[in-house]
Amino acid sequence: MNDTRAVQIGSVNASQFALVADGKNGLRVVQLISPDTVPRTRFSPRPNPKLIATYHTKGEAICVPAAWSAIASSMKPADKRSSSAAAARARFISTKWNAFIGDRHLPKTRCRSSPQRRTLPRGRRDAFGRSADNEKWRAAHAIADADTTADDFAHRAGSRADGNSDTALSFW
Amino acid sequence: MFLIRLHPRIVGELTGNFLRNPRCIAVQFRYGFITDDDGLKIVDVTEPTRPVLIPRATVRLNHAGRLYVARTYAYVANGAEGLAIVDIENPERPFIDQIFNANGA
Repeated sequence: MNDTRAVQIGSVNASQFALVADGKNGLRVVQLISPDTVPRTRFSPRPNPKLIATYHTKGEAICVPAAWSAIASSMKPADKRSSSAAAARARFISTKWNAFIGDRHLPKTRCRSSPQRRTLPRGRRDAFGRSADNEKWRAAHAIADADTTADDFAHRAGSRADGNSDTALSFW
Repeated sequence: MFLIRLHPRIVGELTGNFLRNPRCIAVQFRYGFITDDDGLKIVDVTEPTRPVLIPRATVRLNHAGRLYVARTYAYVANGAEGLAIVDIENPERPFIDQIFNANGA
């Protein structure tokens, strides 16, 4: 990564990802936090970034839309046991990327799925091979952060008790 | 600073030579994080119409571009040097936690 222009962060469960517009190198997907690489022992653990996927764009990647944090929020932590996980992830991101820049080479039907659509029909799998009844995956990442929102922010909010709701929502 | 209404108007501004060619801003609670030619700078926006600069809260970055603030870290696209991760747990004393470039990949 030697031409970074913009970054968006998205989080899901106990994992956090960054989508980086890396200029001539294209779109980069960086995993910042995952249960495997960062012990979740505090409110904001120190990120341990790992480059997990790259998509080479036609031109220079100069910006990442803010809405794409939702894409990062729908991702699964890198699974070291699955060699196809990174490929699936890159395929998923590239699909979204092409949808945004209007690449006509991909079938349009592949671009219609919303990144925020979490519910899958029974028996169907998403881009990462997750299924709706994948208890094994859910159990491994079921760390709820309900206890790490309002209380932990309170001491930072200071005199402005309402804080910035937009920022808070996009945090984790 | 603007009031988001039908007729937006400027109600306050940072004066002086504090910012040099500012590029991007992210606001988290009482603080605004701004990237410019010098790097990452932080202003106190407790009173949004009267932003107050924090002189010693500047993190030197050579190619600071867009940034994203998540919890206690600010992620700054730092051009040729990669992704700068700045610890902002204490916004008055920010420091570079690490700069990630995937070992040049």
